[in-house]
Amino acid sequence: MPKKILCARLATLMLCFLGRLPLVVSGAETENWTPKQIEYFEKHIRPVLIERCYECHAEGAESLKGNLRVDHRDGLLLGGDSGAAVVPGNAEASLILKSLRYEDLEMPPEEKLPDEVIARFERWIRMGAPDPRKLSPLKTPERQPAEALAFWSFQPPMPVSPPSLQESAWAISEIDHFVKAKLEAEGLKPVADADPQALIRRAYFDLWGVPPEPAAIEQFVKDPSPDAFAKIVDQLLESPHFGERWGRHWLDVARYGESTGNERNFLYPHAWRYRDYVINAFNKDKPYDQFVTEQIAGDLLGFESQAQRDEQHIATGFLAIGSRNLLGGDTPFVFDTIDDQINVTTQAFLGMTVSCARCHDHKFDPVSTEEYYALAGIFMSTEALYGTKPGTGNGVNRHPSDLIPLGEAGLEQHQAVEVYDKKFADLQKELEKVENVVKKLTALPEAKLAEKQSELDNAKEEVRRVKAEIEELKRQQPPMPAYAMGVREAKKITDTEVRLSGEAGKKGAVVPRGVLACCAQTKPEIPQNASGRLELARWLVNADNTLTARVMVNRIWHHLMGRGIVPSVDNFGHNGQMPTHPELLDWLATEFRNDNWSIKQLIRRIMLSRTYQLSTVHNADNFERDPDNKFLWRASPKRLDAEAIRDALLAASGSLRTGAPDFGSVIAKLGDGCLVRQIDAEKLDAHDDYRSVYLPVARFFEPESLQVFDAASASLVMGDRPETNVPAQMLYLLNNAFVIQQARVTAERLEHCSPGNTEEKIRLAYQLILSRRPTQSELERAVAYVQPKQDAVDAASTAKTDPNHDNAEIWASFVQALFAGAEFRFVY
Amino acid sequence: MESVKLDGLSGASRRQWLRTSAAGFGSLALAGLVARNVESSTDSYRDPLAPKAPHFAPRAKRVIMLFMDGGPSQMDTFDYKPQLQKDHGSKGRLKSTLYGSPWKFERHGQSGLWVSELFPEIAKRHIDSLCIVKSMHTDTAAHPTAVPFFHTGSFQFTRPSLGAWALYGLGTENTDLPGFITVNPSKILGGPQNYGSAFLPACYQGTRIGWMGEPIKNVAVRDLQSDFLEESIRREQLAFIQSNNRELLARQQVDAQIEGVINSLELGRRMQDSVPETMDLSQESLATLDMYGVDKKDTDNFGRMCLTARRFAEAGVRFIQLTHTDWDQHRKLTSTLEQNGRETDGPIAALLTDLKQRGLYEDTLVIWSGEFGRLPESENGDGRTHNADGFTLWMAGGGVKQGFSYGETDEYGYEGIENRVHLHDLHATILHLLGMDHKRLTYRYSGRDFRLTDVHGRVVHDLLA
Repeated sequence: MPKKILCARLATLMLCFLGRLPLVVSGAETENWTPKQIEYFEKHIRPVLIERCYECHAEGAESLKGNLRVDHRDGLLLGGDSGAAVVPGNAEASLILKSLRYEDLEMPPEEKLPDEVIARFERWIRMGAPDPRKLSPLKTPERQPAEALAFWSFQPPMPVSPPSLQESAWAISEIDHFVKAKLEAEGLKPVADADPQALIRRAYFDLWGVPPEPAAIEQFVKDPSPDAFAKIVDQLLESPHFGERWGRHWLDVARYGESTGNERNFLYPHAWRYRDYVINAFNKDKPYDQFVTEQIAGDLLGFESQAQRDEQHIATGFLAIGSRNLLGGDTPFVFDTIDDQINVTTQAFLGMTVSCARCHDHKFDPVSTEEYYALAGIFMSTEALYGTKPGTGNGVNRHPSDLIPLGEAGLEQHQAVEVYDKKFADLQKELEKVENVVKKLTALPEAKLAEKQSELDNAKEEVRRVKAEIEELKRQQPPMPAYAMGVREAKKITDTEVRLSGEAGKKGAVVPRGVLACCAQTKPEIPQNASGRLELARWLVNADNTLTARVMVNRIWHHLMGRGIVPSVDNFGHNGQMPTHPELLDWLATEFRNDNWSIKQLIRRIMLSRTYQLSTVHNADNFERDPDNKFLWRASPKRLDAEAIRDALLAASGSLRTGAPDFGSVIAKLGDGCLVRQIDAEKLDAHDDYRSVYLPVARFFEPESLQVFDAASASLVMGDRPETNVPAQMLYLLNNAFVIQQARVTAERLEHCSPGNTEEKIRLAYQLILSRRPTQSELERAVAYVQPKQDAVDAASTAKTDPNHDNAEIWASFVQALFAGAEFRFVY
Repeated sequence: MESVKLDGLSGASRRQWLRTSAAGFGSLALAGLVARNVESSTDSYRDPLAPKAPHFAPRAKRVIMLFMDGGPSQMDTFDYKPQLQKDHGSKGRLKSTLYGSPWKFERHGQSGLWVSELFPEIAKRHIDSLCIVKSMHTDTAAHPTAVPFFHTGSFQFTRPSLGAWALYGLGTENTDLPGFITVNPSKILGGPQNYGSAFLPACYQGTRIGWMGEPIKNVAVRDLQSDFLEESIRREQLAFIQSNNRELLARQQVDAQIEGVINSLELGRRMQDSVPETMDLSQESLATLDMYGVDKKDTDNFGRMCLTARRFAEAGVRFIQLTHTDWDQHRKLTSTLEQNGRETDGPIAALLTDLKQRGLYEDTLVIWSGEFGRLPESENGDGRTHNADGFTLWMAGGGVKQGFSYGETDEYGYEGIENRVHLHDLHATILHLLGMDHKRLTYRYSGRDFRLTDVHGRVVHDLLA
């Protein structure tokens, strides 16, 4: 970016920051204090503050306690972590007084002040807390805005071209130029290329999350053409398995879950449509800018067909699938929903953690509370449609919502269903009423009953009539439309106020709906009658947004290379990590846009670099200089993620079912209701062989087979999963019934392919499970493992004694041993 | 990953670093920075569960949390209210009439602390060991929020549980066993969240044994064992796996991840034996079983749980939680609370005795608490409703004052009025006793350093011995 523009931008932003100052200062009365009031403050209050409070609550305090400053009036009004310290005129609401009285916090901590001093504070607050101190700024920004804004990620990507190299023959793509230049600068030498077996296995797991079949390996290894690998990459990108793999990566970021979480854990039986939307988007190579726009504002986009309309609506499920506390009070419920939406939007697309600004200006990044509430206005003007059944008793749900009916006839059907439900409920009520009449009458003593015989007959007739009507109505029950979760414009479009310390009740000034200033020059104009979601979406993918393309490019790099160019993939702010290859990141981001935001193009570009195709082999010199392989002198070995491990087990046994389940999700089958209280959590244990991405993801009850290998928590945005290596994983692989089952079935598959041929069976097992042939020593060791046991079984059967085990079991134990070994879990 | 090592800096340069990093309050990210992606450095294998040095000398090495689910009534257990007895039947402050305790209170031991008849054994044998806090308060008086709040310090967001934080901060003493075990937790009221790890790596979550309200007698840990292979084959199979792993390691030359797998297989193998062995109560003497009330009508289940807890503690498990249910006496207070007393008094007394006898008492922190307390008024006649403003818990063992009572509620027990202790303060104090500063035990997730106590909590030094 030319320097001049940058300066102009900084100046505008500085103004923004300065412009905020009056917001919290309860302005006008400042001038109206009488000299006597000021004198009261100077005499009785200021000395106490200085003597007893400044040590921890003033500029220069060793560590500012509770974020509270009492060395200027605004500090007292704004308060700290616990809220405003002083509410002028309202002694009871002033936290400082409670603290002085030792009712809440106990301040000062050493000892309580004398009662008369506390009484003076009370009096002072009642007179409006006169206090002339306004020397310090409102709230010292932790960094000067200019400095914060100059941060690399808030600058537009540099126009860069691949650097020239000392040894340019090595490079086969532009990416290699960037990487090699860095290696040369660091005195590192790239290792040799990966051998074809390793490379094809790596490509399959990276793009499909499933190992290659032996025939595919053979074919690739034998293919001498220079574009053999490119053909494989293209072929993998074209398969629906690609979306199942990469869609799951996005679902981690989108905190995808199929229930509300929290205490009343209501299922989302329609969430899976969003899951499938994401999978399809990756398969169709939907341009990323469109993908972003649809998820934020798909309901506001034009469409050419019902299918397109539905798809775009389903996309907005992104904003609706978050966890929510259905027992919460109205106001917190609204603000928690908004916070979830702001959090997922800013983290997923921008790599920014804007949520901090709900309560105070961001401590590290140039994001103010005003900007947070500008975004909040957008989401407050948006209605989230997540369903959940209205409940009573143990399944009480205080916040059920609508859903989005799909299909041409969806709305009509939905309305018919609503009419039907209403009629049905009315008839039920009526039935209850007439039945009660019958009950009352029959309960009368006989003498009295005789008098009312005709009344009783009538009532009975009524019961019959209503019952018949109900039966008739049931016969006319309209079909249910398909539903999706998502959002729509709220009935009321509104700006909202800043909430001081994030407390809904403490309103500051109204902020117009808007976006963040730090990462783009342009500010969208939001029409008065629109929430601003569409404008937000367009702003996210606008050419001058400095983050959106970089963040996504980095996510893709992270999954392919095992480490992001910015390792903190969800955090591109001051608290994140710096890029190891900033020029490469910028170049990739630029190319990504130039390629019409094509994710497949980008993946292809990376995988066809020599850098991607390096071996994972160790090199002592390089290792000493760069043990973490930050500079990519080799390919980093990668631990398979939870889904790939489970899918690879199913693939080895030949049991993996392709495609999505026709019932959507186990949770769709279970339907509406509250987990545990109404629906047994054990019912979530799906015993089917669909790919892991299709397993039910109820919050807090995520599948054990995935949890044990560090699957993302469905309640959190998680672009980078932690990776652990712990005994629970071993115990799972050795003892879990699912794993044992796969081992048995794989063993049967071996026997089926090469009946009785020990060596062939071992070779095939290696190919199915580790995608390679065994070495001679491995073969010998494997034979040494199975042969004596087989012989023992054979001998026993000849001798007609009862063996403790059979051959199938021996082979299953052998297969399981390969499952449980390190190699199966890693990609080299 | 880049890690900022602050441990080596002097005090002055450390402060300097904190200033220049513009971090200010709450940014002591040390643990979090280093521990994200626990094994990302490839130079050597680090077990995320290996013991870690605390921030300072600990007073307790492990915790046994006795969680009384539902909210035990303080004025019927440890918070004696003579005025309430006197004013029984007169109008209460809130909605109903004052309801005196159906049980007699007496002073016990040298300390002369008051205990109701519900806990005769604890009173007789251990009153001089207890550190009773009568001025507890919490933020919410509804089970669905109060239970997760008790366990995770938050009811708004999904956060790691206390036990997960402890394990993350300290690792485990005995890698042959899980470091955090929860016995009979609730499926609802937060469910697995209450022993979950949230954004901490999953290895820090609690290992569950059984579900609340179920008999523990024959319950096992999931996937710990299978009858798939007979022992001799299993042994050969493990050797076969390890030789494959070692060959792979030789091929890759240096690879912390493979070392990690080799190590975790060894550990898993040992855990396979250790867990059932530790849970096998048949190795206990008849006298011990008898003391815990095993096989006796009322005490069998909780007695087994307490004895199992002692065996886990003895074996070096860092954090053990037992949940006993049905402390939510909206009605039938007299009969159900008496039943709770019968079920728990003996086993808990036995646990304390046993810990003392085995020299475990000094470095084990035992905590007895519910998620909140109850009101001094009558509900449905013989019942009481929830109370977040005042409740009682006790601690015993490692590092707390003995035969000590702290804080007071008002004359009836509506709310804490003296030396109030908030739940966040309890969390801060527990971490302190374990040798950790609750402000420094942080984990960086999504650009922020999170801690158990969020921005709250203070160590209640008055409780420390």
